[in-house]
Order: sequence, then structure tokens, then C-alpha cells
Amino acid sequence: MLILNQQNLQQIAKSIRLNIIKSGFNCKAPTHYASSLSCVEILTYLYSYLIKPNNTSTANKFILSKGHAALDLYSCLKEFNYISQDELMTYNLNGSHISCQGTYNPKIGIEMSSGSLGMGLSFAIGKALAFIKQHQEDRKIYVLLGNGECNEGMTLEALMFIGAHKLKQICIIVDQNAMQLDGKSSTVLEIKSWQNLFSGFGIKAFECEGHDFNSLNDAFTKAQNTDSPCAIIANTTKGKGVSFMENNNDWHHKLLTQDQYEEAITQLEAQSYEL
Amino acid sequence: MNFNHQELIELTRLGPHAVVGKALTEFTKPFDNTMVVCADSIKLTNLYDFQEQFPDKIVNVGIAEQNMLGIAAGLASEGFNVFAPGYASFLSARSFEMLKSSISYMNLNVKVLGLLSGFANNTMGNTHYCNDDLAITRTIPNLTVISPADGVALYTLIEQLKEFNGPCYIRVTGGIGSQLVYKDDPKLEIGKGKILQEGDKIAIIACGSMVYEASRLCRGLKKYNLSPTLIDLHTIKPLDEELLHNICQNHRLIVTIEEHYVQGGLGSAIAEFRAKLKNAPHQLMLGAKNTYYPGGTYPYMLKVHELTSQNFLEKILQTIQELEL
Repeated sequence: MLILNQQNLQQIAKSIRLNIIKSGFNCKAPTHYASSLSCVEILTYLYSYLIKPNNTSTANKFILSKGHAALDLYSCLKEFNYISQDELMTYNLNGSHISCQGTYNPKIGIEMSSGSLGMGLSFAIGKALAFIKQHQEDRKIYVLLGNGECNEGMTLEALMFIGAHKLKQICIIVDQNAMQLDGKSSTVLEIKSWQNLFSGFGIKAFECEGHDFNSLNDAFTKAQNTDSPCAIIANTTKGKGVSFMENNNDWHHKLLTQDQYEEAITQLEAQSYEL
Repeated sequence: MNFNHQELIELTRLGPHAVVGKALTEFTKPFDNTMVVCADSIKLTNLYDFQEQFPDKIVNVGIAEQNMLGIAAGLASEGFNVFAPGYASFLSARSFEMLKSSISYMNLNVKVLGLLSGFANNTMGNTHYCNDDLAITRTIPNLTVISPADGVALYTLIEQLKEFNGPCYIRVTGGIGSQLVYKDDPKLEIGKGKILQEGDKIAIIACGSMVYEASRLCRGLKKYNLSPTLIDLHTIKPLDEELLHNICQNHRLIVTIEEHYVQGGLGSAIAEFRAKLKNAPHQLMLGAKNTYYPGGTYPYMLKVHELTSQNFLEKILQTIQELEL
């Protein structure tokens, strides 16, 4: 198992959260703060150890299926120097390529246009089949799904295929913050058992704490050592890191005021490598 | 191109969709970048020979057309030229969003073949009839939309699509007993309409199965001393505006004929073009009625929807009289 540099990882996660708030505030439009803050540690871990977008011929791939966290992806790409600070600050501005939902741009690691939910897994299957045809069976595709997104029926079509064809190239990560646009997922459309959902299709599922790097490391290590398709169910908090956004669904898509912006920055700056 | 014409005639008699498997098998090379993705539609597409010769180039996803098009897009994003044949109804209306967001938005190399479109699904009824796929696909940016006239046109088109870059929707109409329009390689050029007969006053523009019906119509009009121009407008998007410009300048009546609702199809595309012209000729738009009639055999449905050459003849003569052309 990897020995983690906890301090470094936490510093990266903190910078990504600051990027999210700063570029989100800069666009002066409502945006998806809470969905983005929910999966910061997941992306930090992936881009620290598993994803290198500019090494395209043999590299692993990351597909953001929950396009609502595009702001997290851009903020992460900036932190790992795949886009510049100037590009990041064009987020959600009129005509920007760094748009509200991800727009296909494989050169900087945006492997799929996203926004319409439930479509990332099928796209990932196509890539996995391509890798098999090209005799690159060891390449992995990490697909980040939102828990709410799994309401979409196409997700089940894809899970059925992944399990039936034992596509070990695919590693699903569910950002399980237990919320969606209309509130708690338990009241909108409850998925009774994530373990059963995946195991029913022949996909191995590992549960972890999605803001804890040791727990994420443990789950990703298990996933990598598994010779079958797998899923990581990462329990997270929607809006993590900014107290007034945490578990508050008003922040699914909302405009930050100047006062709220300053408060969010103050809170994030005060976090000293401990979430 | 060399092809066994007799064999194509026989296949087309089963319905033009029956040539898809043959064309894909013949035009695929062991080390090329072709992939075929289908949704429990190997039998429908007659892909058994393809499957036997290229078992690693075909993926059957089960009855899941949305997943099918998502997978096709993923394969194309890694450099494959993907052919995706299946029932037109389920690859257009049901999977509209995947055509839009997974394939066309990312401008990926996927050729979606919508088979048994129009009323070709015989007695299967209104869930399987597909008279809205041109309307649906025509709205999608980046997507090229083609409706070949017969099995020969479809066969030669598939060879061209091996080299064509970008997403396409190919609408395949015609059923059991289909006749051939083309006796030889029509040398179709994607985006360029084909003039089958030059005439005056009336221009008949048709696509898909209705090109054959329109050629019968032309023979019928001859008896009334009318010699119309006849065009196979196989590419509905992008429109051959240069050709249409000439046609509109030199004719007084444009007749559009399609096995598709009048709303949103070939006729609509031409009406949109005509709207930009000064002194545009009149247009008679012929197509399926926007009604759910009870189902029936293919010839029966064409009759019910007044899609026979005799129906067209009567309507044209009536229009000529009304407009005093």
C-alpha cells in the first residue's frame, strides 16, 4: 500500500477548495459549490497517484460522470498544472471553454462532455473495450458517479454490461453524499443497499470515508488488487469544508454574496491540514 | 465498385436493411479500426458472417440502445470507427440524448444505422414505426443525416462511411419486396443530391423508399404530358443548397415526398431553405399523416397514409389545377 504524504494531500485539497470558491465567486453566477466540495479528496487522491492526463498513450483515464462537480475537476486540473490560473478564472464566464458542465477536451484531461447524468459509465465501457482491443488490458478507467445520478436508468444498463463482461478496467467511485437537488436521497429515491446494487451485477464494492485519505487509500488499493470490476462507495458530506454549505441543499446551485465569499475563504484558510 | 448485383437484388427483396451485414462484412479488414456495436440486433442486421469473421470487432450490449450508443461513443473516442445498427425507432427517439450528448456534441466517429424506419416494421405497430427520426436527427449539430433510396445505395454508402469522419445517422427505409432504384453503383456523394431525371416546371424531391415510388410517379405523369425533374436527395443534412437553389430557380412547383411525417422531415428541411428565397416556387409536401392509425402490413400502411404513386399523382394534378400552373 502507498505511504501517503498526508500533509501534502491535505494542502492540495485545501488549495482546490479555495480554487472552487474563488473561481465560482468570480463568475458572479449561481453554481454547483456543494457537489464540487463533496469530492475534493477523491480527485486529490486520483490526480496525486492514478491519473496523469498528458500521458495519453498508456495512461489511466478519469471520467467525471457527475458533471455537476466540473468546478472541482477544473480546480484540481489547475492544482496539478494542466490548466493555468488565468484559464481557471474564466470558469462559467460567457463563451469560456471552462464551462459550468465539463466540455470534451481530452488534451487537458476532460475525457467526456458531461452534465446530463448517468452517461459516463457507458462511455467508460467503450474506452475499456478499446483498451482490450488494443492489448492494453492493464489501463484503468476511474468513473466518478454521484449518488443521485444513479437514479438514471442508463446507469443500470451499464452496470449490467460491466458485470457480465467482467470489465476489470473499470473502477466506479460513488460520491455518496446522500443528497440530490430535492433534498436527502433517502426521501427522494432511496437506494436500499449500495453493496447489493453492485454485487447483484457481479461488481465488487468497497466502502470508505471519502474525506479521509487513509480510508480512500485503503479502498483504492483493494480496488487495484481486484481482478474484477469494482466500485468504491465513498461516504462524503455535500458542501464539505464550508460550514454553511455542509449538508445544506440550498448550496446545490447558488450565488455567493460578498460576505459569504469572505466567510468561506476565512474558514478554508483557517483549516490547517485537518478537515 | 464490383458487386454481385443479383445477390444485392435478392437481399434488397428482404428489405434494404438486409444488405447492412453483407456490406459491413465485405468492407471490413482484419486490422482496420472498424467496430460494430448492436443491441440484440445481430439477427435483424444479418451480422452472422461478420461475427464469424471478426468476433473481436463486434459487441452485443443486449436490449439497451442508450448504453449501446454511449459505448459506441467511448470506442470512437479511442480511435475506432463505430457502426451502430439497430431499430430506427429505438436509436433515434429512445436514444436521442445519447445521439446528441455522447456522440454529436463530442463530434465522434459513430455511424448510427436506423433500420426498418418508416413503416417497414410491418405489423409491429406504432411503437415500431418510425416517422420522426429525420425530425429528431436533423436538429443535432455535427450530425450528418442520410436516407439512401435502396439496397444498392445503402451498400455503396457503407463503403464510403468507412472513410467518412464524423457522426452520421443513416435512415434505412423499405421492407420486404423492396425494389431497386439503382441498377449499378450510383456513385453517391454525401451532401450532394442526385438528379435522376431532368425535366421542367415540376421538381420532385424524394428520399429513401419514396425515391422508387417517385420514379413510378414520373412514369404516371408522362401520360399527362408532364416531365418533372426527379431528385434523390439522400443527404438531408447538410442540405445540398447549391442544387436546391438551381432547382428553385428553374421550376414552378416543388414536390417533396418522404415516408416520414411531413412535420420536421425532408419537406420541412426544403421549406426552411425556400423561406430564404425571393420568388420561391410553391411546395407540395407529401408524407405520412400525423396520426396513429391501427397497424398493418407495410403496403397497407403506405396506402392508409396515402404514400403510393397513385396518391401522389392525384395530389399533384389537383395542385397544378389549383395553382393554374
